[in-house]
Amino acid sequence: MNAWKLWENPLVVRGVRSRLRLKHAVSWGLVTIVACIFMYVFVSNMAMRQPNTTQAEASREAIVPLLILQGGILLVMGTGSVAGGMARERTYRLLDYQRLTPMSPASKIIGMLIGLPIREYFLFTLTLPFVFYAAWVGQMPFVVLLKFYTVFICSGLVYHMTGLVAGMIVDKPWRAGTVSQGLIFLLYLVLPQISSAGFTFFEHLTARPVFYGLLMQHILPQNTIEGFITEIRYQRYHSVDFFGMKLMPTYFSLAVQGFAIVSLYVIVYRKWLGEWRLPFSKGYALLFFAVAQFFLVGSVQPYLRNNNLFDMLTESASRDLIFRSPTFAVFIVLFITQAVSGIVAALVLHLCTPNWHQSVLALRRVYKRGGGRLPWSDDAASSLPIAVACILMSWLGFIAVYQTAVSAQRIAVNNPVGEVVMMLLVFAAVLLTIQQVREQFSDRVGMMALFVFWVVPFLSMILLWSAFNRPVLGLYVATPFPAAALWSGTSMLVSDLNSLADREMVPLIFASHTQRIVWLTLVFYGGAASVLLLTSRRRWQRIRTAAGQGPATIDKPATSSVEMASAVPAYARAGD
Amino acid sequence: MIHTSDMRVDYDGFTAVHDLSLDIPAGQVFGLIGPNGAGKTSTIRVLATLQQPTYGDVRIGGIDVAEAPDRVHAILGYMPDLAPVHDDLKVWEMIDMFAASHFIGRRERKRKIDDCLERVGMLGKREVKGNTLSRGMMQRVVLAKTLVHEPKVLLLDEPASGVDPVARIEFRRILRRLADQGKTVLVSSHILTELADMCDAIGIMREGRMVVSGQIDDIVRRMQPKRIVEIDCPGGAASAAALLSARPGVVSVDTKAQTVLVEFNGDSNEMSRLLAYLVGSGVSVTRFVEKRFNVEDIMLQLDSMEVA
Repeated sequence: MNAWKLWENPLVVRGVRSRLRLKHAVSWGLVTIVACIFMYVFVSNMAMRQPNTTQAEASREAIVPLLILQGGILLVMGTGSVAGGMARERTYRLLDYQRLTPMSPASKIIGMLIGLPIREYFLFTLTLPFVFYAAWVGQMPFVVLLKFYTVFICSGLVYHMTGLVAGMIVDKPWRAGTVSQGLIFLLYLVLPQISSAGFTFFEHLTARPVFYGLLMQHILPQNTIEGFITEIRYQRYHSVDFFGMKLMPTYFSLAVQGFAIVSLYVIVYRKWLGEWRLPFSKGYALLFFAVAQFFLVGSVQPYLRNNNLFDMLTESASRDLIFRSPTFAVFIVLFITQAVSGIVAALVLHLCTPNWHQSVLALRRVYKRGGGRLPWSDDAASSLPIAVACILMSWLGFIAVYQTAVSAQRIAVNNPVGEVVMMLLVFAAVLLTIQQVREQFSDRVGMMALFVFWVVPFLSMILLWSAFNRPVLGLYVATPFPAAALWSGTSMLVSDLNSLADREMVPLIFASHTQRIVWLTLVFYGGAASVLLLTSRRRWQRIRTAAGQGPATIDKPATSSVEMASAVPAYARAGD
Repeated sequence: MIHTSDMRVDYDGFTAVHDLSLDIPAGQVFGLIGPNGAGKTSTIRVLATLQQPTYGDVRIGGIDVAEAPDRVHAILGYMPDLAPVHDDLKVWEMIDMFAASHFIGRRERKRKIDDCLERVGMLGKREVKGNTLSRGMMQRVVLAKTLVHEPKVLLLDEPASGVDPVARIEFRRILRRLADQGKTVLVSSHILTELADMCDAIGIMREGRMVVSGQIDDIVRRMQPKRIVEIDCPGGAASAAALLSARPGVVSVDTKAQTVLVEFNGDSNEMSRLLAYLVGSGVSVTRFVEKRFNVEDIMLQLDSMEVA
């Protein structure tokens, strides 16, 4: 079956039959059309009441609420439908039926992706004539709308794929819907805050940059103060600086979203093949991290190199983050670079690290075929090589960003080499510990470790700082929480801690402690990683032993009276 | 057609299936019996490629399910326990979806849907939505869905649970007919009587182990090495017991009112000689029958072995 013949895809047909019956289509369609008519007439007439507003300008203004309605339908409702529908099918085991059909996984994924939110696609289609009418009356170039909708639908696919993944992982349908809608909230409202610190690619997961950089220019009247202010405010969306290039926001958004869609597709594809499969293969985990680093470094470097962009960064830092000094802007960039690298690396390791059973099972297959060991790229092989590769790539990325900041003279350098090396080692030790905990222990133990070593010290620090007025002690208590060392270490890198300008970053009372904090964290995680790496060798030895043994010798329970009866030959031998 | 060797299924902290070896030839109805938690569903899910075994070989129609699950899907029909249906679809729409998923052409689909619904006695409910069906109806609809691509192997997990007695009888009839058509059926249940009449062979699972398996007659022979003969002797049970206890091959004699229960070691010829001896001795015999174990007796026997 051709995956792209949507009208023949049984899952799309199923979506039409279940969610788009005539009575549903008529009632939902009527509500949507009435809402569109109301919005267009209300907003354009309200705009016409303003002095010197033309019919075209008033009509263009009506586009914004219509787009918000479309976003609500396609992004919020649609994602909820995908996540909820998928989780319901999985919870009630209807998905098992579908797993056992000989359709290709691609056809199944596309069928689910279009079939589950089919009603939302229908309602979205109903709103389109109103937008196009408003654009026609408003004399807006259609090519602008076309570019916008390309990115809008692409970002819709990102969210729907997120919904599919949530539905495949989260148990309860309502919880899957809430999780995926929470992710939309995160993407639209939280991550753009990081974007304002130079990490523009996060924002390009949404349609916001194209909306502000492309559509708003045409919607708001250019000859008014409001239009002028908007033009200035959204200047940063007019093009995307990436390494040394200036890219069109539309194309950059499509590249970032395409990467997100492919990654989510990989997860769903693998989960379709078997629920026990890890979300990422080793190869894709590496590729994912490399591309994420590429976007991360490529987005942030121009902000440190280019004076205009750096001023914009400082200005946005002062507006959004309530800090003022340029040094602080660099500090934030370096801190976020490492934090994002660490979070993405931890996520990648989480998605590609096998458990004990998976490793034993795969090794048995290898032995059965006469092989001796698992290739590094096997799903069930250790993720240690991936962790090492992520560490090396993160180091390269961080050095590239730091070097740019130094060469552009954004920071005063004291004695960077030793401190940079120390930071890199802390990063490596933390990541190796995370990888080993993930590989050697169950999820529950991992979550417990996270709580005990990260959350508790962090909360204790807050308590000691605010309630007991013991900030220095609080900082020492927070040593196991890597962000504390990251904060302290980065503050050492950017400039002289005793200068007045740096009091925003690290209060002067901490200045003499920061290096010690970083050392302590290095000792803590270095020790933990070393111990875990040693136990890992023994664990793999046990895995090899278990894989080499037959089933009768592994964890065989004590002989019970039932075994007396099991001495009767199995059916295969009974007939002999 | 279905083959497992040393199949083991582990979950976190416990083993659901221990070293299961099974060989079911084509055209056989094999019943997997056991209480809840015996490992039946895990076994069936592994056979259906929905779960990986921790160890062991699993083959369906000669195809290794771990190596080529896609090829297995084409010949496999799977019905889970408490078989769910799509409650927002009509009965025919649901079956149509699966028929299309198995690449059955549009024209042929219509015929097949009606054919399958008729086989399970649900043609009259063709236009009814899934959310209005009773449990028994749902089971039948899912069976119809399972049959639509005419699989060679059927894996039915507790197919008759929750259905009324009439529907159960109907179910048995359907399964027998499927076996007659050459399909291999693996059907599980925790209700013994449900499977006894319709299976060619059974396997009894307990705590993840296949406790006993084989053709029902073979199992009976193995579980009941000594024959038990029930003899009704109106007015002469005591004298009959005295006569019998002296006969060769008689292990023990017990009387219950007018009935004598004889545990006997001999073959059929010796049994007929026993009857002739009684009649020749002037004992009035109105019933002389060998008591045969049924599946329930086997289970009780296994229970008593476990207690011992």
